[in-house]
Amino acid sequence: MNRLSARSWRLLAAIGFWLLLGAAFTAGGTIGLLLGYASAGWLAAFSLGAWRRQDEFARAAQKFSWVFGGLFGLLGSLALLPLILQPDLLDPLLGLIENALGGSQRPPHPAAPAIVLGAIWIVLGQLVGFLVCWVGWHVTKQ
Amino acid sequence: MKNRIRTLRTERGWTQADLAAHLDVSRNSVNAIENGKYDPSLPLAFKISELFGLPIEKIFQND
Repeated sequence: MNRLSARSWRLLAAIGFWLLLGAAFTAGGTIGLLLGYASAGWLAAFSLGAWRRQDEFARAAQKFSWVFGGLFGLLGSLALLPLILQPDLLDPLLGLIENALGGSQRPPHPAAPAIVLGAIWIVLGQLVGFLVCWVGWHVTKQ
Repeated sequence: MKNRIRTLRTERGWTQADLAAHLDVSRNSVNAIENGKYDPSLPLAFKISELFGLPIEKIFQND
């Protein structure tokens, strides 16, 4: 594993994370929750591995992207809240999350799907902000 | 910050990939440093200085 490049570690981090997260949503219930934790653990472990193998230029890109991309992604996700509150978009998403949380059973609380959707929305906003800044950094540093 | 890394590298007949391998950094890093788009850290600047056998101030100059 030590011979793998930082890029390989990043790729493994992303593939494993999305596979486990997909499985978590598919399974739902307690198993889904455990798979969700496993996906977070996988992402953290392989991201740390990638970080340790990166050079300072790549680290600078990531720091810049998390600071500015993360901040503006967070603000953007809040600014775009009215978009996700449209019933045509909100109802199917809540249904999907409700299903993932409870499977065939009832979710733990009626507000739970909305809270989970809110958290996912913010994380997605930060992720998009990060990616935009990361790509921008590399384009401007060519 | 300006630098003479491209000149020093080509004098030795090295590609950016060769220099990157010597410094244990990516080729993108070498490209960004050569183009003055990224200023290396002090430890990396010392590494570059040792590799070329020149004092840092002979390689890097303030704009």
